[in-house]
Amino acid sequence: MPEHVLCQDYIRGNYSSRDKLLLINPPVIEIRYPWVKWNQPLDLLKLGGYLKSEIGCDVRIFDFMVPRNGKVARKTYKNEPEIFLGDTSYPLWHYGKSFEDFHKYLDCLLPLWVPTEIWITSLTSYWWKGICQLVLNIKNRIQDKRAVLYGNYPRLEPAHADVNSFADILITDSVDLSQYHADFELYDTENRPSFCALDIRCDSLAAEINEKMNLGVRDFVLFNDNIIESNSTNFLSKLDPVIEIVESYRQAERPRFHGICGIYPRLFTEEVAVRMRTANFTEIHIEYQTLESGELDAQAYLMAKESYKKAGFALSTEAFTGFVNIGLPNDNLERIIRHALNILEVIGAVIPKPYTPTPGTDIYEAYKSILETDRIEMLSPHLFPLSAVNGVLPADYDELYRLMAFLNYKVRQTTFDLFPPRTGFYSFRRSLESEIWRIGDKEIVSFD
Amino acid sequence: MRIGGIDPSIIRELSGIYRPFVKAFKELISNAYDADADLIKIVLAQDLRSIEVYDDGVGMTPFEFKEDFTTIGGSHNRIRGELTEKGRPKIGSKGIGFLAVARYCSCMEIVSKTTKLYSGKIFCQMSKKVDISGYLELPISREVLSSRLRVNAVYIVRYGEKERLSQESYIVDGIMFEFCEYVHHDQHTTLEIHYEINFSDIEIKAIIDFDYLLSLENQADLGEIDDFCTVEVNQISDLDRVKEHYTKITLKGLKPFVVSDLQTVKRSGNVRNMASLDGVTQFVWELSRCIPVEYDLPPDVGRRFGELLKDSRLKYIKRVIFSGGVYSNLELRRPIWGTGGIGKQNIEGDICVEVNICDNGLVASGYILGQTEAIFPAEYRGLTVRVRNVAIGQPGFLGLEKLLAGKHKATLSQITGEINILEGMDAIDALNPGRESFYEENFHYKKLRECIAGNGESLGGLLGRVIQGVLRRSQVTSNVREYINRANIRRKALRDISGAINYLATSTDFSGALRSFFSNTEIIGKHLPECRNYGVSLLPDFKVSNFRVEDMPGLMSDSVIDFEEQKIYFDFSQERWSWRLYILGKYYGIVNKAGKHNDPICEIDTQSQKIYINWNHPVREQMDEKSFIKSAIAWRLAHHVCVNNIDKMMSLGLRVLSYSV
Repeated sequence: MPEHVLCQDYIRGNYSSRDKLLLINPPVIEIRYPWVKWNQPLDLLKLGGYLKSEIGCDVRIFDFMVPRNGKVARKTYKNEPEIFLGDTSYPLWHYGKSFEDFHKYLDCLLPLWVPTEIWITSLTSYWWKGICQLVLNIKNRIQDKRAVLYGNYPRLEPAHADVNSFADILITDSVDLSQYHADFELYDTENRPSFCALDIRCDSLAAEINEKMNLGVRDFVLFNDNIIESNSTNFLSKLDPVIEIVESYRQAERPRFHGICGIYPRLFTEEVAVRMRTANFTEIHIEYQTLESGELDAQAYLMAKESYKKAGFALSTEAFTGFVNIGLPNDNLERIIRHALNILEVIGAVIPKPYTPTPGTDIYEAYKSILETDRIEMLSPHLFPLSAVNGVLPADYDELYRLMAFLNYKVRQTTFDLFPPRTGFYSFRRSLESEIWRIGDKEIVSFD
Repeated sequence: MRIGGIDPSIIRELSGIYRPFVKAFKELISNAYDADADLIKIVLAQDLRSIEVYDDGVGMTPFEFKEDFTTIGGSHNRIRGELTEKGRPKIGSKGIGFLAVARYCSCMEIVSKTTKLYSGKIFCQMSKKVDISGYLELPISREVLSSRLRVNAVYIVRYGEKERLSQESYIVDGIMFEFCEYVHHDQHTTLEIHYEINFSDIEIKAIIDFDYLLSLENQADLGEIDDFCTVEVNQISDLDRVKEHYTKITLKGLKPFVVSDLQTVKRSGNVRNMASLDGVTQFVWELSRCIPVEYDLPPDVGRRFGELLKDSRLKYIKRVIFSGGVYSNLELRRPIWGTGGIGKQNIEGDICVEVNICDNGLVASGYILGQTEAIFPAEYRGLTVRVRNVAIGQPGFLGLEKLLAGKHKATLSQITGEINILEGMDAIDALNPGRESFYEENFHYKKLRECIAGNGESLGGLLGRVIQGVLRRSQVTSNVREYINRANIRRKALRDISGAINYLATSTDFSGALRSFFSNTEIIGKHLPECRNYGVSLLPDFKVSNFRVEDMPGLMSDSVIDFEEQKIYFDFSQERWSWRLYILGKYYGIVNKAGKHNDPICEIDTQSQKIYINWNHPVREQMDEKSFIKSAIAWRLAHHVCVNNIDKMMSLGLRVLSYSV
């Protein structure tokens, strides 16, 4: 059985400058992964920086998820090509580099450099299959070296990891390395990602951005759950030095920021919006915000849109969207559609964001008895684990995806305008009311 | 100027001997070499329609221009074994001269100046006065000639007897010779006047119109045609230039097919051969290969064969500089395979030999080098034979390629070499007119071929030795590669088994049974542990080749083969050689056994954490190693785990077999 340890204690007690550590971001086994291109092991990159600078270890990284030519490979997961949810099967994909690529990397690496230990991170617990397979490959390939499992999987599901991960060490806590910069020099130049994930908590954000710009990185992503926080003063004060750096570059060479999560409409004030525009945010995705009643916080969305306009943003509809969370225990299809249409009207585009309860949270504990806690891969949000609670079938959620795709579909850069005063709106509404799609009792006319 | 009569059709044939253009062009360099030039400058015009060669050689007098340069067979270089003043063995011998480039350009302009004193003699009938210039057939005005001509001696020849006249008996005024007194003579008496002309302040400029020459009708008498070559003789007034000596030849109006070749662009993509490069680069490379310039030796070849290639009998032009295309003042050096870092040379005793021949007047030195892979650029394949430091034809194998077949013939693409003929192979008897091939009946050529290629019936000679070395290396390398591949495949099979068991133990119906089985430490092997070990090791061919296998820990590569010591090194600590596999938290070792035919195919011992495989099991005959290993373990495991349940056993066995990491 693996040993459970705390991160700092383990590092301080076991590592010195003689140690060579291989950090690995594993492949993802999942049925769907729309944000795959933004996968970056920020925890490993900061950890690597910490190990190098504080302990003096020799650290390397292998990242299965680094995009190649802007894309992350996807192949059928051959050992289990599909996963069944009731009678419905979903194809299971292997995202990222293949294990053949990993072995080729090791073929080149191991004759020259043999790690003393290997760290594997995990962004989620339900992606454990890729982690398990990776550990097995490592145990056979780099024999007698310890595999250390890090990240959300051992932290959230230690019992499962004990039995199924085959790791030797489970790091069961998380350590705050937010003040460390992501160490991009762990990557070799040809495998370096073209974007850098940032942690808003880092006090030297501007310095990190500058450092990455010198490495040729132009795109930056903020991954925190709440970027702006309830008091935007902190966020604004972080942005000011960033703006200075942005403005020191010519327009075409400026860093670009992508707000793909953590931006709540109520906190997206005009002041915040202006600063974000000046800082060259080229993508803003507004988080789903509801009132206590469960209804959409419409005021917040309207305010957010006003802030967006007053700040002078002119982003495309793909770059300025609103999320609508689905898969919640209290899901109601009608309400979801209503909220989606609301968001569509105000923001311009809507993206469904499936939900899964995090182990240890209240919602998880409340519904633990009906969740498949043994088969934790079934906790993937794309499999709607709370479907049994809210009564919405997975097939219905699939329809929701199709609806939102339809709503977002563009012709000549513009979606179909469902709303007045467009003529299309009135025609469409009349058609729906008169149910024109029904053939009904029309006389059958012979063609003779 | 008149040219001795030859049928134009023959001229056209002779001009076609030199192909392609670079081979014709090299004749101009050869002429400069024979003229003891130390510096040659070649300038190719930007529009590629003309090319100029300047050399600081001794230059030509008008007589030499007429006799050597424009007379078929008139070259005084034909004398066998003649050396230049600097001791260079003369290259030119056939007297084909200017014709080499005739079909490649519209005209050739020659400008030359010498500091030589020209000595000659004329024969004439006895006469009180003789106009010497009338016998010279030179396009030089009498005024120019008269200040430069000096009569050294005059003889009267009567019935074969020569009698020198005293200087008082005649006077020479410029070009006019006059007897001071009567000298008795009859109709059989002739006069022989020895003269000397100082051309040091004379520059000749000639233009040969090849278009006109080659357009003449067959059987036209060239002697009757004056128009195809114009010659001017100009006096140089600049006294500083009097001491200079040079020749500048400009080929003008290069034919469209020549220009087209030079204009060829480099092929896109990854190219390996010279023929894929741009036209000018190909021209420069070919020229560098065939003219007498110093070798550009790669370090390894230089260390091993440098002395042989720097024999003092090999004379070089000090500097040949090329400008044209993308090149500006490129100093030409002779490239060989490996120059410029192209190709990774393997200079080891079993596949390279020195050539050192001294036999019946033939002296030759050089090397033959074999490689374990095909040589690129392909133009370096073969042996380049040079006579008087000029490459004869394309690299080849002295006819051996016609005798070889199969794998022996295939190795020829892996062989290169340089052979310099230092003595022997006299130009007239040994080389065809274009110096593109040897006359095979030539005695020295036969000697050379025998030494290099053997007696023609079987693989022999130095080349034969290299071919055998290359073949043996290929065989051993191939065996080693196969051995490593087999190890990789076996290792993959073990990883698949490990992956399958662990995967099935985590997320399937078999997880409980598998975990239970592997946590039970009381399962032991009963039959196979007692059997003799079976070594899944070397291929039998290793023994045939007499190579020994040794362990070399810390090896950076898959293997190292020492062909000279006949040893093969592996690092058996590398993962591919491992027979361990990871199963549910423990490492199991695979032990191969030579059991009986009716012993189990496999036994799993959870107590000692070993898996025994019976390599003598009859199933082994029916499948490859990878399938056998997987099958043995899969079915044995299924048998243990799914006791008394055939369906489950089949299911488990098949799932283990089908799993792939």
